[in-house]
Amino acid sequence: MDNSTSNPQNDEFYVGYLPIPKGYRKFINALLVTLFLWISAMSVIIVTTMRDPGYARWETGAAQQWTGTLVESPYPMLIPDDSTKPAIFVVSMGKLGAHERLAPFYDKHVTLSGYELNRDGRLLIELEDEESAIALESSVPTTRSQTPVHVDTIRLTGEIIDGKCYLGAMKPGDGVGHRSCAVLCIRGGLPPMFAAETPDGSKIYYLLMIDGSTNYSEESLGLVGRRVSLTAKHSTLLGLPILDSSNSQITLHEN
Amino acid sequence: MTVAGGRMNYISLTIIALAIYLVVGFLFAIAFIAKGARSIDEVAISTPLSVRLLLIPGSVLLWPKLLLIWVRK
Amino acid sequence: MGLVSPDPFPWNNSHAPLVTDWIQIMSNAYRLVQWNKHKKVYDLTLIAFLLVYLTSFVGIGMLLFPSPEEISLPILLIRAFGTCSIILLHVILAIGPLARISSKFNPLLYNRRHLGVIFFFVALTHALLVFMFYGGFGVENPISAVLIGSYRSGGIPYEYFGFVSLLIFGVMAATSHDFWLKNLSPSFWKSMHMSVYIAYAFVIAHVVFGVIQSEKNLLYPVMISSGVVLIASLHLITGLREFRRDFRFKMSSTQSPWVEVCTVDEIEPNRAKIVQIDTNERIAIFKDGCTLSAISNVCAHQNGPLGEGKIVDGCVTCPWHGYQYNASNGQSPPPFTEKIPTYEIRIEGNRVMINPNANEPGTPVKPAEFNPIFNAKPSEYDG
Repeated sequence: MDNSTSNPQNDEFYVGYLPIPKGYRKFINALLVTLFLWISAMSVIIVTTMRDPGYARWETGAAQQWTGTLVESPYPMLIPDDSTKPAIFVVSMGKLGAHERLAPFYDKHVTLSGYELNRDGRLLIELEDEESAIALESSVPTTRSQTPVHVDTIRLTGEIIDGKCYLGAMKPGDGVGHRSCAVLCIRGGLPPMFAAETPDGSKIYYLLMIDGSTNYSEESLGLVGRRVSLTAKHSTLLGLPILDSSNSQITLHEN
Repeated sequence: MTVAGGRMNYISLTIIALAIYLVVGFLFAIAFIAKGARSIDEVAISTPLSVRLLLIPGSVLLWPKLLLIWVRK
Repeated sequence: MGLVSPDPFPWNNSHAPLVTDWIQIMSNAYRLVQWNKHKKVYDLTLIAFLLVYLTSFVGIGMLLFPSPEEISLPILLIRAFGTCSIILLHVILAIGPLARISSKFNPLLYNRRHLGVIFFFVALTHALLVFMFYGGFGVENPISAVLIGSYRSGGIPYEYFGFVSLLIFGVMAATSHDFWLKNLSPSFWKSMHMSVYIAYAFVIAHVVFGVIQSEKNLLYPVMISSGVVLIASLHLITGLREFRRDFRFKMSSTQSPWVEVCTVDEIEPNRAKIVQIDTNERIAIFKDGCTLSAISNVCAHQNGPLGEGKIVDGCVTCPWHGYQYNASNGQSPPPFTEKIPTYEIRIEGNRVMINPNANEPGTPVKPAEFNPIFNAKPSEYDG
């Protein structure tokens, strides 16, 4: 009469192993519809607001061939015979460099078989695992100049990334989430690169040597995948921009 | 695994210790579901093996505690 | 007095389990699976929701970022499972307080263990994908590559927060069978329940120092902080409500232990009033026909609030999982063996008196009888 809780209609009680009372069923159905709409909304909102990893291709399918001269320094690269093309990094499959496999072929004319990774025209060849991936054409190198052209000393801000993931093997291949992977990649001999920020929001990619080497010390690895500012000697070699810095010239930004 | 730097050594040691703990736990779990579970809990005596297999993950993770309970019984 | 069978769907027990059910309904035997219709519907709905979330996340992701600007599929999967587990965790943590605010949420609580175990596997998938793709294919084993690599790279090792919380959730999932509930000490369970909140804090740190640092969209900090605010305020609200609702009484200062706690007509038929005397365990006073009985408010199964339950077929029935007790002796009807403490009770006129010294669990106590003509509210018997 005056107390609604003593009304038998409102005295429904839910027990899991008994049929669900009407009032509970109504409520749960409404709740499930709400939950459904909520999780669908969450899914759409999260996935549509993720940052765009940018243009980068990892060619798969049939292996491609490149002919040119292999050089060891500053990082194992192929200098294509076509003089309009820049030098191309050469690595193995997985998170491994190809230094040992390439060693007998430095300064020789070869044909490589593998897959191309490409971000904004910066190229990298992933060699096939077979021995036939490197074919000796001639022991005589081509004559394109191999001396780095020193440009100037510059100061840049950006992130140290690993060349393979960033050029297309993993997208996005930068940022905090990718940090431990980038460290693993660089330790495995992949090219350490610097993605420098520019005022218009685009990025310039350099090969980053620390103390003249792409084989990073433990201390240098601590800078990978983090936002840093650095002062470096800037040079170019066959269309490849190169930075040479040292740990003391690299400063971390917050976070 | 070559690791330079003391801090990192601690981490790899922790990972190795964790792995040893889990391996010992797994060996213990086999003994526990074969015998131990029944000896510490009379309800488990009539429990089929398929159900006791469900106890493996818990036994692997909590083996020191269970060993103590088992020994006391 | 008819005993409600804890499992009216025994035909399902021979069914091979798709999802293992660690629940044993009251301790007559441990079973692999204790399906009933409700749990089947619960699990199927849950799995359907997961599939909707994961497939729409990955599907929209692939459509929205077509090659060559696509997000790598493994990374899309890592994100789908990661965000899915965070949403599930919030649902799990919200159910408890919501069920305290309204019993209408109890059907979600009933099978929460399945939700917990499934949540763990979603989070585990996220972690395995991370170890496989960020830690794999390199010069080191995948676990060291991620965990040592995280330190090697300096900065806040957010991976550790995720790893530690996954370990805690792993222990919870691994011990969710009732065997553990029975054989591990109450102090263990108390620390486990606390560590859920520690694990939750770690999950939040994992997100704040991880993905939020590289995804600059402001929406993510807003989303995660509203999650934290939601969970914190739900717990705060229930805590306050319970604090206000509790009828607290002082121990009798005289020689007599009896404490007056309420009047007979304050208790609804087949329901209970919960009282707390000093800082002792709460007591539930049930009205069954023309008798009152006092038992512990704490269910022997998972500490459910018995006083929010109801008398069904003559037995006090827990609102959480339907465990039943005879109000007059605190014992589950045979063949079940659960026992809870009982309390001496008597009625003086219309006043209900309780002796706050608990009897041993399962001790029979004579229910206090009252005369409905004098003690009941008009509304109860006006028909």
